[in-house]
Amino acid sequence: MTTPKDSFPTLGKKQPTILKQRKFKMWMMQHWLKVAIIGVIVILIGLSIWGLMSLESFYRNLTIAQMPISLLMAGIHASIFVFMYLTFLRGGFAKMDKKNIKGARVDVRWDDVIGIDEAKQEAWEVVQLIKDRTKVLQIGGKIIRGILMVGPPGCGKTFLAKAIATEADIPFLSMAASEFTEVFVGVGASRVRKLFKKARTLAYGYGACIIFIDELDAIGRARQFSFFGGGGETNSTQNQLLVEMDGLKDNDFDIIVIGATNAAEETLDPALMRPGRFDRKIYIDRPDLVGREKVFAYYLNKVKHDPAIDIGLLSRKAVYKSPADIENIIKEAALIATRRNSDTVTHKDISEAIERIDMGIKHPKKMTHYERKMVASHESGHLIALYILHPTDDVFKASIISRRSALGVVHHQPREEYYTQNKDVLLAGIKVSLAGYVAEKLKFGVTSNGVSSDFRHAMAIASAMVWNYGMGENGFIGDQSILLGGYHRFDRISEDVRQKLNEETNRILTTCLKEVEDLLKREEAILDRFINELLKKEELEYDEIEAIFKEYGKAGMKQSLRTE
Amino acid sequence: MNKQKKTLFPVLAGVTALIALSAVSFSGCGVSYPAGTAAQSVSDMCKKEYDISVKAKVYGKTLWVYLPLDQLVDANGQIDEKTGDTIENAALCVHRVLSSTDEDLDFYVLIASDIKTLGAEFTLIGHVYDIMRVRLLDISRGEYQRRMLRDLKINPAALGDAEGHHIRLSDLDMARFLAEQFTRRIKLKFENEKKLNQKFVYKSGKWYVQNNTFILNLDIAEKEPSETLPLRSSKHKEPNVLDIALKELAFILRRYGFEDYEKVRIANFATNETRILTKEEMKQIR
Repeated sequence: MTTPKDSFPTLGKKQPTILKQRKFKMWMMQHWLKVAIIGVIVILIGLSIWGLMSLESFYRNLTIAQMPISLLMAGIHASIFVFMYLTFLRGGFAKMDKKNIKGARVDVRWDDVIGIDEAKQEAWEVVQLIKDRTKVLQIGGKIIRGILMVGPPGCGKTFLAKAIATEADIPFLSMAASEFTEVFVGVGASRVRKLFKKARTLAYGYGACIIFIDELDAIGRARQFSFFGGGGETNSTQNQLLVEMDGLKDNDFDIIVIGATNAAEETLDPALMRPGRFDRKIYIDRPDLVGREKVFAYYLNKVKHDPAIDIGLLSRKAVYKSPADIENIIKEAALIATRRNSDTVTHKDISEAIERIDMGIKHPKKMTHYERKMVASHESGHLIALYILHPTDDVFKASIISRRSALGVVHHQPREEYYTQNKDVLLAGIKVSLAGYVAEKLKFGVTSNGVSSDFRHAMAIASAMVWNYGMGENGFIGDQSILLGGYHRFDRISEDVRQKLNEETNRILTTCLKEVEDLLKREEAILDRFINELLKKEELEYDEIEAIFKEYGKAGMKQSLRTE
Repeated sequence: MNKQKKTLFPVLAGVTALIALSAVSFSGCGVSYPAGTAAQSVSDMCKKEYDISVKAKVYGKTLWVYLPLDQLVDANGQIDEKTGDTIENAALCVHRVLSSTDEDLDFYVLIASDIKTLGAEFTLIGHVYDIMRVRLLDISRGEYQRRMLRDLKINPAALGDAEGHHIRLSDLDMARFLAEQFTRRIKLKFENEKKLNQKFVYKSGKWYVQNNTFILNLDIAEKEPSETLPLRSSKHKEPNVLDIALKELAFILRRYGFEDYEKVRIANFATNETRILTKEEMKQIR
């Protein structure tokens, strides 16, 4: 990756004088009103001095003596006028907040963008294209007009856009799409026009300019055309955006519109996506394991931390977390460290921060010993089933301290991002869900209503396997739910088939239940150990859990199951 | 950088505004007619703006201005309009200069003399502070007129004296100025106010200031009953000349804030009535 050079890309190095003139003209275009006002004020002050000098000192003193009150009155009148003007003529003080920041001042360095290497690679090409427009035109290439950044929230879309502006050394205008929308039809369109006018002025002076529209879906959703006139404001705003983006072709300088959305690409209006508009897409996903390690390392470097922190372990714990989530975890960990009067963030602080964010804050409840033991048994059942049977998930913590509405919790995460789940993983999920029920039954002979959500989860998976995924063993292939009746649709599934599918669902559940019962009976010693440990300590950390399994010779077993 | 600029801008704007205001304010510093130039300024202004030749001189804290004229009064003994304008213009120059000078002056005396025909002489005496007050509308023009001392007389010494050598310069003082103003105000009051004019006849008013005492000798007699309106009921209190005069004097002293005296001795020769009041007693009169 080459280092960007300090140059004004679109006009090339041969025209610095023209660029200087343009910058001056642009400055004048932007500030002509201020210049005019200052000029008038200077002239008026000059005239006042000249006028006062021509007066005899008696009248001069008289005039000067009245000046403070005159100034005060003028100030009051001006304030009233401005208030009335803004309130009644300009839609109040909630005017468009235009951020006029020069690219270099955005100050997001390319190296600061971490954990999204693929997206960075694509964005770098954009930077190069902006920086060497002449070259692109020479080889007959097409100047990029619009870039759409799609991805989940908190993954660095805005950050990447700012980094593009910084690297290309061009001005950056940023607005959230929601800022365009107003209750009055036409206001949004007017704001779009103003934004592009501003961008054109800046691009004229600097050779190029980036407009960043965050949450583009607020104005970019597929337009609706109704006889009743609904959605008129959004439609007109979007229409204006389309028009402005078309108009960019006529200029000899670059305005690059970067839109960001976390909505599905399909929800956006097709007109926005056609060539010449947002025709380049950059997909920004959550970082993978390596990416998360980098993000953790980056944010940890911003706080004082224990050098013994295992970033690899943290990254495994933080599967599916976005960079913003990770930043939040480190900030929360710093707060926890501060609260315990430490100036160093430790692994425990970060673990606590993750738990606090994922599981909620602890709300200890006064429970009877019987209830505590029931909860400990329930969670221990989940824990053992997860550790031994689940092929993808790691157990990070078990707790019988209540959080949110749960009396206990086993915190687990997939070791890595998985985008599909096979039959084994789904069955493991069912087994883990049923393990709480089985453990209660095994230790107490009766079960509690705490199994309700577990059963719902297990049933949902089993049902989906049979009805939707064709994973049943009774020969029914396909998504049977399509045959179910509904709105404007007849039920095309027979009672017999329905019964067979439900029987298969139940078979899966009972088979899983049997397997879990066998497991927990077989490993009852470990179950008792975990129950006792939980009753004693209330919470067990990853290392403690791992140590107990190791003690019973199960650590290797877990590994072998995972790699199947 | 951006933050620095944001902080710098209001500071720069404030400094610029301060400089602008200072420039305007400083432009007002300095007087138009500095100390020592008042007399010459009056002469120059009269000549330059109205083509009037006057002789001006400062004596103590009094500015004396001499305006020689070919003719002052007409055959009826009245100041004609043209001459009146000339005197007014000269007085205006005096007012303008005295308003815009830092020279320590309390009074001005403008003497317009007919040096060719009769030797008629018009004298106008005024207090500098009164000029400021009337210009600032602190006192009415009528009150201002009452505060100025005017005199028209025949002075043969003025004939042929274009330089004003016959005028004996002196430094006016406040007590004498107020005493003279008092007698003139009393004269005007008893002559012009209908109620008093019907009942009294003003004959003379003399004043002296000796040993910090105002000595005011009036001669205001009550008219014969036949000359007056029918008498009202006996319950109606008749106005007393000395009461009216003391009230007027108290008013004058209060308006000028003059306290450099100890007593007031006032007498009405027509009734042989005399009163002596201390400063404190004078202050009680409203």
